[in-house]
Amino acid sequence: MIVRATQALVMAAALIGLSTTVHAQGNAVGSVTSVRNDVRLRPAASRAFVPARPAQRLALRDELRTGERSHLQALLLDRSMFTVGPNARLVIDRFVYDPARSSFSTSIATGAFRFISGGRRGAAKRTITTPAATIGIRGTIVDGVVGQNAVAIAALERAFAGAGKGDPAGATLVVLRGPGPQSEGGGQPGTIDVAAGGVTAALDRPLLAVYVPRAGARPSGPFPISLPALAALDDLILPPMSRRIPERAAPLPSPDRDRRPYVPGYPRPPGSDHQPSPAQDAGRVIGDLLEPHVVP
Amino acid sequence: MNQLIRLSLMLAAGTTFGSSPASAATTAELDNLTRATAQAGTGLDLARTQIRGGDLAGALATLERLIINDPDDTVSRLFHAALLCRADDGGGSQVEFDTLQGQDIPDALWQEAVAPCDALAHNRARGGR
Repeated sequence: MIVRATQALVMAAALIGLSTTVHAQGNAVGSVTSVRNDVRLRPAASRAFVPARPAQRLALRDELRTGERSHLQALLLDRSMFTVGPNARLVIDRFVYDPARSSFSTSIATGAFRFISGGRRGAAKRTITTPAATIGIRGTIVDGVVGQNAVAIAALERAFAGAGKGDPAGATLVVLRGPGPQSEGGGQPGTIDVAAGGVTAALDRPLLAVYVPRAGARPSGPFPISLPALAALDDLILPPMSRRIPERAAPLPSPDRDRRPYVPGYPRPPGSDHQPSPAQDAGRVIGDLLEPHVVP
Repeated sequence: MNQLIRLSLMLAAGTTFGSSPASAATTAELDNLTRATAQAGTGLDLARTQIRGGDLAGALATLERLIINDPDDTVSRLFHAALLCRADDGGGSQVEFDTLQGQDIPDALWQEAVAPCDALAHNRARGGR
């Protein structure tokens, strides 16, 4: 009887081990899960890019590139997720999954991205490196943009008016999106550290942002990102809707009870004849300022 | 699909934002998730299952795949906006709700998506979490 119980315990331990450790699945560290338009992958051992397709495996040091109006999502074996916007270039540098001490790092040369950490919080070390900054991530959702679009979005923030031009080859804007202290379930809020120019800026609340204008510069911030800048960043990470309400010819009318945008905790505005909110309107204007989509 | 939903529920039980399943995914599981979002209907079913199972971060990723596949998928955008609200990302949620103004979304779907968000907002207004 004791022997059987022991065997059962050993089996259970083995099953738990199987479920919490990544065994070699070829060289895969993840998989492409969604592709829109022109997304290409260069395997680490190759010089040639091939079109990326859904369910394509990702391995260490593979390089991914997105083209004009192109988007990509990839899931990693530690359940972290990347969503990447147009004209991006990234390489997965390191991936070790172990429930006790996971480690992941990727380099993003240019483009906009959203990263959502997977797995339980703990000793996991996740890092995103850009030409100007190193972003340390702890259990969170983080958005970022590297390059000319970072300069364009930062220019919308009053804090950077007249602060000089950023380097379109490496300027980096990073925004912590959540979860915040009042998120559902009340778990531990996500945090990120942005290291640049020998200084580290800590972000611990949703919508705090940091801007690093060039390699070697110190991070500016944290500062609360404005909604127009956030809308512009959103439109880079996810493809914008084509069926948005048309442009208005006249300035916004005075606030109208039936034309206000939806606000959580309040009833849905009735009817479908709504006007764009100031944030949406500004976001559309900003769209015209962003760099034309050029395949790197 | 039922098998996928059961798998998702099993792996995600009891989780919230920033606390997705502790185990590693397999490439086969990633393939299943990819297949499930190849079509809007099954993709939304998966997102709902993930939300019910507490895997809110997983649901966000599922909805983003659906939006990448079809940027005019207003229902996925609605659920995505509501999840941002539940993550305490009020500004991001507001930006996304703004883009949905004027879109024809049935009230039942709207209520399904935003009810938890509304409840959270009321709870915050009362000083709770």
